[in-house]
Amino acid sequence: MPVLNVENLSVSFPCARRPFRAVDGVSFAIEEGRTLAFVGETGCGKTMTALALLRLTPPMAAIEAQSVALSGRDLTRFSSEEMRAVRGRGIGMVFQDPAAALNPVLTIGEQVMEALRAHERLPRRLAWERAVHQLGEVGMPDPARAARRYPHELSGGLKQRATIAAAIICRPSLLIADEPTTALDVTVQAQIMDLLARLLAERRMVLLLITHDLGLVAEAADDVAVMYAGRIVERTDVQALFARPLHPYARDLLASVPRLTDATHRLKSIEGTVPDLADLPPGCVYAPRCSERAEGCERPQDLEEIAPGRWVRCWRARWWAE
Amino acid sequence: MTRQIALRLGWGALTLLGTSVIVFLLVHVVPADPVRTYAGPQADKETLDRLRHELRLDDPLWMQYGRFVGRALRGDLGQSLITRQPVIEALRTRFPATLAVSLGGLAIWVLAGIPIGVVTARYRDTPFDRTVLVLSMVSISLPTFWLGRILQFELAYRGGHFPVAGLVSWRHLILPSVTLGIVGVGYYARLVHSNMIEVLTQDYIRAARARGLPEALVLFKHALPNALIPVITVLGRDAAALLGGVVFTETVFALPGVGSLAVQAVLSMDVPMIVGTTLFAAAMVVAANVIVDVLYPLIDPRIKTGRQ
Repeated sequence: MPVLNVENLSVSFPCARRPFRAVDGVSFAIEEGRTLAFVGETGCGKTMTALALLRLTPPMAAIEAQSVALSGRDLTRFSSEEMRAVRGRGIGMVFQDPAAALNPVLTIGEQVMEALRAHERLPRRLAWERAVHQLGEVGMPDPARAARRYPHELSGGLKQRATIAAAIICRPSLLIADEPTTALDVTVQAQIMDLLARLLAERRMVLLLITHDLGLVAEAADDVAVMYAGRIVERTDVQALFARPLHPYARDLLASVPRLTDATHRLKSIEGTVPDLADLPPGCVYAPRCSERAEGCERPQDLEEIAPGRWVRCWRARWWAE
Repeated sequence: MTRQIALRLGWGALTLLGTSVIVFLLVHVVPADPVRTYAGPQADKETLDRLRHELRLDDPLWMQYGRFVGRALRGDLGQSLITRQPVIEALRTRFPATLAVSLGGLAIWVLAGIPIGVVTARYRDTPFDRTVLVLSMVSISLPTFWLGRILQFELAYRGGHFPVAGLVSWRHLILPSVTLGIVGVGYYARLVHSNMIEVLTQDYIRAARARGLPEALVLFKHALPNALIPVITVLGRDAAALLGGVVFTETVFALPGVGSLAVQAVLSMDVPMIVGTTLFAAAMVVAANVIVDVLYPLIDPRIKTGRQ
């Protein structure tokens, strides 16, 4: 049984002046011991998908899903109180900017132990000890002292370690990391990714990694889902995607990554711009920018499994796969 | 920390000195004659000249000022020209009334205004929020003396539920405190409201919710302390203004406070008292600033007191 199994998740904004769907019919699963990466440009809906799993979307958003199963339990049937019990306990989340994700007026220790106090009702002293231990486990130097510090006294990397500690202290089965390294220096990025890898190996925890950094995907993920305009356009394992991307968008995305060995001087980009979600073309949403556009692309495309474990939302991909 | 406080007190002393110079000059620029006040309306010119010389009010201004500062530093603010009593005694006996009313008003602002601000921010754009918004605007627009008079007339004089004026028991403080409270509570509710809204958009609030914390904890432990940081400054400034003399409220309800003392002093051209009450108000402002400066680092750990 997959740790997380999402079927047909949508997030729409029906009351906006021009209603739109930020997430449209997204389905995916994460098996035990695997890491799934969500890749896409800014605004493609990857963060909104993650927030929808926790029901932390903005108040005017409407979430619909056939099922969202965490270790078999369907979260869509949960009341708000039951959902609150899931947040921080069944699912932990790490955000992009650790400086913004930590409350400046509370100590690190206070914020790390909060989830423990809220979910397991531990007394303060015990929770504090566990928090200090957790900080040590995520590689915080001198954790007892660090716990008494305030966020502004720590560097970016240490802040992110603290937010990770706060997210995993109740031992969730799923950790969502939304661009966990984007706000950090490159060397610190590597340290944080190593930390995450170690934690995943040591605990029974899976990772949903949201990123726009393809390099990170190649290094850290087992499976990848490429998102465009709120929907998944290709979903497969990482090696297959990098070896042979089948969806034109995935292919263009990979091609646009500059290579040091390239002799050309011009950077390759994708022509056109991301479509207005309130005004999408009727057929394939990528068609206006697609170099493989042909007759038949004006029909709506479904995500189809054209080879075992390879899902693509493009009717022409079937031919290229052969 | 003590170094910081000492520095603030030093600047405070300078502020008081500057205030005293300005007040002293202003009072001597005004055409009314303090000697006449002292001597009474029947005195003839000879008496006035004699008194002027006795009181040494014919000395050059700078000399008079120097004498004043010298005495003030020893705690002697002179004598009232009307009552002949020491100014400092008058201030001391009058201050408790002002303090009591001020605390009453402040209590309403804080105990009612803050929760209202938090709740309307959490449930913004609901009918409740909009109603509170209108009421807040009304409360801010009400003139103190008008509201005081209305409450006094309707609830005390006509209704008989409260004492009309004066200060005999704690019951006499209710209407004045409520008046002060109503006039300011709207402002604090809106201030907390807008600060809370801004704080609630921050990432750390979303992160706190993502940890599964109950909403009440998110609002009061995570959001409110951040939202209150700017409110402390405003509260300090307002508290200082109140403690220097709540003029309108004290006058309407005939409370024996510093405010009514100041009004009487001005109306009767009692120069030492005018200077005394003004300096007192300035001292309250200085004290409030020092207290706020001390409180700040306790609430916002990012603010460091001095060099570390």
